[in-house]
Amino acid sequence: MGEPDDDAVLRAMRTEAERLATSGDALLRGQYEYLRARIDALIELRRVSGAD
Amino acid sequence: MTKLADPFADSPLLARFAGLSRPELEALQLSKLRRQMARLERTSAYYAERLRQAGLTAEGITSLAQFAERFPTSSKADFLADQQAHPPFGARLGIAREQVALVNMTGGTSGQGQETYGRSQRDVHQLGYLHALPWVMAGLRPGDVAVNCVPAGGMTTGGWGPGEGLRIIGATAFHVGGGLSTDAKIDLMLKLGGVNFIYASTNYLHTLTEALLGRGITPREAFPDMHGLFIAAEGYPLEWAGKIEEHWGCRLQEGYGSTQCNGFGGSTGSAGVFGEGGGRGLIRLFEWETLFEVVDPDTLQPTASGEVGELVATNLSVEGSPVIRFRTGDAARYVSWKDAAGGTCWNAIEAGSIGRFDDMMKIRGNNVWPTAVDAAVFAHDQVFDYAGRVYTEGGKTEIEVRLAFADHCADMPDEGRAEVIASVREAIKGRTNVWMQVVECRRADLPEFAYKARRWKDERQQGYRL
Repeated sequence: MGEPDDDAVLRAMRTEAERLATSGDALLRGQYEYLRARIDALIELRRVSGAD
Repeated sequence: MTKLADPFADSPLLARFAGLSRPELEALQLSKLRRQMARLERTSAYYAERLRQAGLTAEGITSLAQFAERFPTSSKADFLADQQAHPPFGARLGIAREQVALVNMTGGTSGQGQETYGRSQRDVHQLGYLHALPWVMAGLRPGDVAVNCVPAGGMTTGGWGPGEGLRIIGATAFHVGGGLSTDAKIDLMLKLGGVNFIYASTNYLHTLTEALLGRGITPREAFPDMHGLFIAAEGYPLEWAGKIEEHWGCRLQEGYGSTQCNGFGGSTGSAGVFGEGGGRGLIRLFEWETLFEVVDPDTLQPTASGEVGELVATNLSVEGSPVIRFRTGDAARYVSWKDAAGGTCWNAIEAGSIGRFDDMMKIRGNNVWPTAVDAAVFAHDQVFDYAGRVYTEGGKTEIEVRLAFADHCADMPDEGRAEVIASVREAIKGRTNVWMQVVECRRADLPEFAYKARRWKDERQQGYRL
């Protein structure tokens, strides 16, 4: 799998993690937000272009 | 006192664990155990050998009872020998060495040596989860200001777990343990504009409370938003717990945890450390993550509900350095789920009285537990802290308890001090059957403990030198 595919996978994971992070479960909500933040960090640290 | 949110109403996942029947919970445990052992059969030479000794394969595990009957226990000594033969993690490591993401070591307070644990990335998340779990049950929520008084970082599980747990809850955590003096911690807490939760060892919560009172600060007035105090690591008398709740104006909760459990193995949930009728409450065990047995330390047979036994722990999903039927040396009063009112099928242990089998001192023919002396001494709120020493003089065993008075007793006359000392002495005799010499000392003469207190020294062997 090439690097552009990694970006696509991360974006898809981001969408799913966003959905999880709206959980109303007090025990899981913070953990899902933590997961989303990790994916956000990976997406951001892979950015090599100023274009959105 | 603030009423806590019902953790089961706030967490559908937790409600599902609470709603399991006992057969359903044990089926889940068996399924996880078989998967764990199938993995270790392939990846851990240490546990593969133990399966072989038991005449078992992972597939051949048919019940929890069969596993407990046949699979050999491991002890600290076994792990230390394994590490020495296969440094640094021993052959029990269940992952490739390069998959170790965090290294934890036990504290070394036993004097026997330190166990080394390799944690995988998954284990590190679980380490956080097994701290977050009891704290969410105790009412901690995202955005709450939490003060962690346990020294952070370093090599211990207790140094890393709280940070991970508070992070994945989303609490605003101030890790004040270790780096700041007690006065500096108080100064910081007063500047935070509200504190909602404190995590500390039993011993340190005592020190912090005493220091606040000594400065003329009433905790419940200085921190009106506090809704949870969470302690671990040491026993305490209920009189002390009652005074702590009164001083802070909120519920006191307790957890049982260890390096071997990769975090907490159980907690008082939201129920607090008092049971119905004002007696000791229960620590309900998170049995879907850690399989606990409570056994007679001599026969290894299961302990009856209501009796004290040794906790034996099995991690059902830890990858890196799992413990499988590990003899913890922790002594706890076992309470079967059938006798633990509360509606779940989780087995429990009594809160506030967990001790160590290897801390027990044989004094003049009596089994004396430091926790029993703690209970006698700290039932007196005039006492700040104490240190005990057992030694030999003239061929006789002597026991000295040096205690320092609390700041609020600074003006107490000599007669009053003598009465307290006499009362402490009587209380110790009542709980241990041993008369001990009790004397006053200055606070500065007592050692300070940021985490687990080690109040006793046994110097009897020195008395036998020729």
